Amino acid sequence: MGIIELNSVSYEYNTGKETAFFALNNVSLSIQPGEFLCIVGHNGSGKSTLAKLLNGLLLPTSGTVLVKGMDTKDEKRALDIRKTVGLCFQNPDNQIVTTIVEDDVAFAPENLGIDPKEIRTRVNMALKAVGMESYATAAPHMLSGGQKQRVAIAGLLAMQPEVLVLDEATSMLDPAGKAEVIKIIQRLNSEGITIVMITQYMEEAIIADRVVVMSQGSIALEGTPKQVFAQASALRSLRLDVPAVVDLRNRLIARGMLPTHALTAEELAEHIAKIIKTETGSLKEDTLRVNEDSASH
Amino acid sequence: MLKDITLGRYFPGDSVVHRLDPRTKLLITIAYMVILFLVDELWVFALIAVFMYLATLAAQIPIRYILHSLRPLRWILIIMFVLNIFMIKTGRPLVDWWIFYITDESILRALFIIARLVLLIAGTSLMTLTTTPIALTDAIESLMKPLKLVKFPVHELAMMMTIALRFIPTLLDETDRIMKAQLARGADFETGGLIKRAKAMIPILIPLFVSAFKRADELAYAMDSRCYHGGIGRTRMKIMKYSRIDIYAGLVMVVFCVGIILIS
Amino acid sequence: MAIELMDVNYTYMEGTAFEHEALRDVSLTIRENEFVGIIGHTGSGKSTLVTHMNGILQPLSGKVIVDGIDMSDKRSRKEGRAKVGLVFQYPEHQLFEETVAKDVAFGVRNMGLPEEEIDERVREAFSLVGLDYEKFAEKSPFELSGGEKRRAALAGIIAMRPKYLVLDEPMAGLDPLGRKVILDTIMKLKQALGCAVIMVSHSMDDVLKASTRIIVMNKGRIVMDGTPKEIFMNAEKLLEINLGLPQGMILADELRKRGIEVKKDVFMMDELFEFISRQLGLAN
Repeated sequence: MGIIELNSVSYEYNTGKETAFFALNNVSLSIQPGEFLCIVGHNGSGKSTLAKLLNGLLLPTSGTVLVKGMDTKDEKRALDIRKTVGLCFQNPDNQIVTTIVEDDVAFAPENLGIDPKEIRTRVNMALKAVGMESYATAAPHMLSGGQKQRVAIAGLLAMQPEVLVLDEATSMLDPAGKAEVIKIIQRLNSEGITIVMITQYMEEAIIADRVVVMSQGSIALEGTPKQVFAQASALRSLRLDVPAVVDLRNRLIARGMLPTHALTAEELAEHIAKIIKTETGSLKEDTLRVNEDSASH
Repeated sequence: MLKDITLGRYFPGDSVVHRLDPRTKLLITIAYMVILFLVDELWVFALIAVFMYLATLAAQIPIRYILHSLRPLRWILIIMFVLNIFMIKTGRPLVDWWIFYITDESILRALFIIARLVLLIAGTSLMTLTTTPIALTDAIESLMKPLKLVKFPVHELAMMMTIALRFIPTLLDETDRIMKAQLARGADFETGGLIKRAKAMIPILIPLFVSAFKRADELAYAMDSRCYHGGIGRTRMKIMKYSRIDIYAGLVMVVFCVGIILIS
Repeated sequence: MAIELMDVNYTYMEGTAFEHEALRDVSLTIRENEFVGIIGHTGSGKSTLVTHMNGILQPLSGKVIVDGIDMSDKRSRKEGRAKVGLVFQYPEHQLFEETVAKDVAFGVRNMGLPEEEIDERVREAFSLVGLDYEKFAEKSPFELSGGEKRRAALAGIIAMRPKYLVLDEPMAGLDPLGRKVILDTIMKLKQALGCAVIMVSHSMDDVLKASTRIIVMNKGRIVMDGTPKEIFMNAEKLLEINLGLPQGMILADELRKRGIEVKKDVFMMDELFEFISRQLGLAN
């Protein structure tokens, strides 16, 4: 069983009014412990609603959401669910509560009634995990966007969550800030935390174990990044774009290049170099070995 | 523009004054304010000014930061001074010409008012410069704890203050941005009569409210996500503790207050 | 005619503990008809720089001249400002009127034009940014989607018919299709209005796609200024200040690492497509 299980979940906004509409339609999804799941979709595809359902901020109109077997509708388990599933939002400014970094990181453990000494240990560990320990006494509004978002993540880590959900957490950051945050969540994932990353950008999905593409409140595509990126035209019709390198790859294949599942510049260059060297007969042993994967496609 | 406001901003440091318990600082500041309103002799004001100067030195805060906090209020100070000179008609006349009737007492009174205000602002600035807003909120929450007995929502009030303090700089930045954006669309905030100027604020206020409500909404979600459920069962990472320097500081203040009252 | 900045210096919160130097000795001339991309890190001074171009920020020292008008002069500043349309980051946050049409008209109305002309310009601006006037004019701006709001805000500046269109991160926060639509709209606007465009962006690929000239900022200074080819031929310098490279450059670099001779000036995706096709002997 997954750490989070969604069973035929639907969510309706403005129920009973004229403006009522379903943001989610009959979505079933099982999130496995330790996996890096990426949920991609354009604006209004229902992915932010999905994020808020994962820790019980929103409750399904129909269907169930189970977190480690706990039903999010069970009010008595609300705190247990929320400390298991940490939710990081898009705008770092709007999730920092206090005027000092370390006090903000302490906010959640304070709410959980944890012993002051233990809170201090957790705060120090959380700040270290996001590389912000030297900013412990800084004022959040003096930090950059990327730094603020790292503080927000530290604030969730202090709850010692098992799942971290990032709802477009990098979309307001500059490239440097994005890279910082992605690096941190990759490391957290390698340390065993389940990651659910929600984004509009396909290129951010490359590093995921599994990609779920949302459209109009339903799951439109699902699979490994390689499987999903192979369906470029389907992605385009869902208002999503493939990364520039994958686009180039597809154009080259259309012109007759030997097919490949390469997603990054490095993989594509490797593939091209291999073809050229095979043709000129100077193929080296080591390049062969490295390319076994792409050659098999 | 708005970013230049420093009032209420913390100046990081590790001086004796910084290390005082925020409750001590708050109580000392209150005592200091009471004293300011009790005295009315110029040389006592001078004595208090010396005390303030020494406290600022102890806090290792450059004097110009304290002076800087007076700058936004300079017009109010000048107007208060002029008004007082003209309003008070008692005492020995010094000038009696046309509409001007100035007495020795009116000048003295005006000076008292200014001295009081300047010292008041300097004192509170010293407190806010050496105490983080959050520590101050904690101090208020702690000192108001007895009010919980009469069902006064002490925790909620403190949380509201914390959030307000946290978002003041954010909203000031936002106001600055919106103002610039409307200026770029030819908005004019500086000319015209009172009504025209008030109308000119609409393009700033509406977007500001829209954004503030959106922020409030998102903040509420973020706080829920981080297990906030009111003050019940909540612990604190930083527990305030009075230490020896608090006792010394308290003693100094008591001696100072008693001294001032005795000599004046 | 041009926007000229001469030895501009600017510091935020001068004289306080929070002093922050944002621009240092910046000199720059932007001519009519250029498409200038400005790149740099957050805090490199890009936004401060563009806010000087219409006189909303005044330099602490140095001069800003717009078409011969000295922007430090209070009386003529208004005339200069009318030539420079400045679209801030997340411009949809400045919408406030009851209807989209009224909001788009706000800037033109402040110029004191007659009603018929205001109406004509508003309709024109709607069509230039690709919003259907009949459908959107009477809607509340708060009912629009993110991308539509952004276009409405852009229309408000376009209606003022600026000679220089300055945009601070016009694509920030939009989804991929939204980004593409806005960038295409900006490129079309340049054609339609014949104005100069100055665009601040974090996206190397977007800047590379649209610009005729690129300015790189770092720590309040201009560190590079030239055509896209000139800038990206000096990739080392970009890496030195930790700016990312366009996707095409990364690929070209990876190919070079594997012994394939890619010329230094080949890094646009289309050029790479042709180059690789030739290398692999693919038919046209």
